[in-house]
Amino acid sequence: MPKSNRTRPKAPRPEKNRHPDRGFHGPRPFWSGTIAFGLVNLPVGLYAAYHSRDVTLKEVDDQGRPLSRRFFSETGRQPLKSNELARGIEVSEDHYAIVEDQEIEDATLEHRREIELSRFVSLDELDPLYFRRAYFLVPDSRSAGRGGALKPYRLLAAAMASAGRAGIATLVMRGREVLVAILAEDGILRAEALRFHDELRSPRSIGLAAPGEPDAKRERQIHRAMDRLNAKQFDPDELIDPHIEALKKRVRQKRRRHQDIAPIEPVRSGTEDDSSENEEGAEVIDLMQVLKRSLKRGRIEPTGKKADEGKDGKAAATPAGAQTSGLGTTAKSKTTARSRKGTKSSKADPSDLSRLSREMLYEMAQQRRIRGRSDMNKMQLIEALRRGD
Amino acid sequence: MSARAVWKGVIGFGSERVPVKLYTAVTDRNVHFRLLDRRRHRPVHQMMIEPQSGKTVSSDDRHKAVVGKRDRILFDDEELDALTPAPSRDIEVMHFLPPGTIDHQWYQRPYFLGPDGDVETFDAFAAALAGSGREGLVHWVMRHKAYVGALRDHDGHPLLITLRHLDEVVDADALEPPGGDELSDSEVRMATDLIEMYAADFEPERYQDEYRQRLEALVETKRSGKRVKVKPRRRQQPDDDIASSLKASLARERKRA
Repeated sequence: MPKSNRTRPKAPRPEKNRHPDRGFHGPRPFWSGTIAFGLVNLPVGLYAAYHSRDVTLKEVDDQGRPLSRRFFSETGRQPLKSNELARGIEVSEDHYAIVEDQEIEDATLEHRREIELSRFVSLDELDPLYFRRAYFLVPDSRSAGRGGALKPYRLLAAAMASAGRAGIATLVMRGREVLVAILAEDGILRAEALRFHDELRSPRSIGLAAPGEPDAKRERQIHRAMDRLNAKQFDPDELIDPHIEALKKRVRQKRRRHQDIAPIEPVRSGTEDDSSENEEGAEVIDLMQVLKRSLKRGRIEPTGKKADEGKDGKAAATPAGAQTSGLGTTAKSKTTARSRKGTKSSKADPSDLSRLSREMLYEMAQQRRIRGRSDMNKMQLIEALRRGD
Repeated sequence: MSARAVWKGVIGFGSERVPVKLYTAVTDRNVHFRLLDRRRHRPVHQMMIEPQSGKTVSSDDRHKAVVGKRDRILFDDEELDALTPAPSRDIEVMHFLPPGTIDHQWYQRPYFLGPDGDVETFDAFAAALAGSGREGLVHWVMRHKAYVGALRDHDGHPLLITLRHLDEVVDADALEPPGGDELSDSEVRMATDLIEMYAADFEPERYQDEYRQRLEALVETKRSGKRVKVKPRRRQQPDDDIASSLKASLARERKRA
């Protein structure tokens, strides 16, 4: 149901763009395709409902120069080049077999651009234990019929709210099937990616016995103690991360005192690095704005042909980003659906992560426990790996 | 197979103390690959280098920095340690809230709770939590990280779900739903009817992670030293007039019913 019309800040108009053909430059949907609801088709894009965090710590040397991670063989003194690396598994103790990118790609599912919505479950039947990650659905009229996508979107949201039901469906995202619950909340459709059944444990499989019959007096005592802490409303400020806040505070302090600061020289343009072009050319827009615009206009604005950077492209602004890339020279990148859209790689730079497949980059990100990696596209993975998070 | 607890803590509210063990409620079933040295078929190891010189930098010479637009702010280990929350076993309940108050968008990772010693108190707590129907909002520190969680009942078992921090989640309330002309009642009704035709039970066990199964098969084949090859296909179609589509869909489903 639509919310009451409260005053709200308008999404800022795009500034005059020097490269109008490039459009704006912002996060792209992780998935786009069509919801098939009966014979009604609704084209949508899915955006992860999460931000990257605003403060992260990176590894630097004592001069404050950013470091990057390289991979070495057990004996080697030279970092391995990307074509000298492979993914593999341990086949028996201390024996490894290589698994080629192509073999992994063959295991992926055929991309499917359709979500068939033909199972609707009652909202209270949905067990939140299954919820893994949320995505906003935005209507995308670009590939809709003459009526556009807004109306079927609003209609579906309204009908789901009035039925009190959520749709259960599957979609293929990056070669793997994802089970989603599609929920309508305040007129906005959201997909909750669900865990698969075998990814959840039960108290029984853990070996937890059901709690026994409680002592009635003790239970009442505890109940009373609980009641004293009853509150009506949830205050999102409870979710502020005290650690990050403390870190931010120290950063402000140090800036004020000019203590432990290493300046970053302004970006030299003229390098072949895509990111600097983005800085000047296309308008850089954050996720929130993309969502607001798309929901309002019923379509996803065409992005530039470049893949997106982090949420505001700030990583791209550091010269370090340009120089600290990669692993070594060329590895033939297996052209996946993603990497085709990726950036043109700079020929001048021999150590170039962009020549690695997204899967390989993902594996590296996994080893380094980079947060949010599963929702990163190739470019974002490269940025995160370059930064030496 | 019984699982091991990942952590122990004490839930506290008022003068009550409930010692609990945390058991992770989700398992990672993904197939993980290791990075190998292609030529030697051996795992690689990682080192940090200074990119300009290409020199490796040992952990003693490394620092951490917060990278801003124009500067980097350096931190040494002691400073960072001082900012890390102090270790504690307390799971402090801030409030008990009516069900549904904590939106699912914050939910992250669930843990089942079991008793740690005092079973009598645990059982009484489990019963009181289930009986109240409320969700506790709790704070705790686990392995040097500060957590916020929702404490709730799950079929008689207390469950603790970690919540995402405020700066990580796109606030759905700040988004405006798409607007436009009033939707026609008859269309909303038809769409609602169609949803009801499609009403089903939530049966998550019907779905399988095919990709993972294929990877597992691939890994198995690798282990046995053989070779693999697979591939399926699919298709789709467009549409226009919503009302007639809905009508046709309803007719189709009714016929089926």
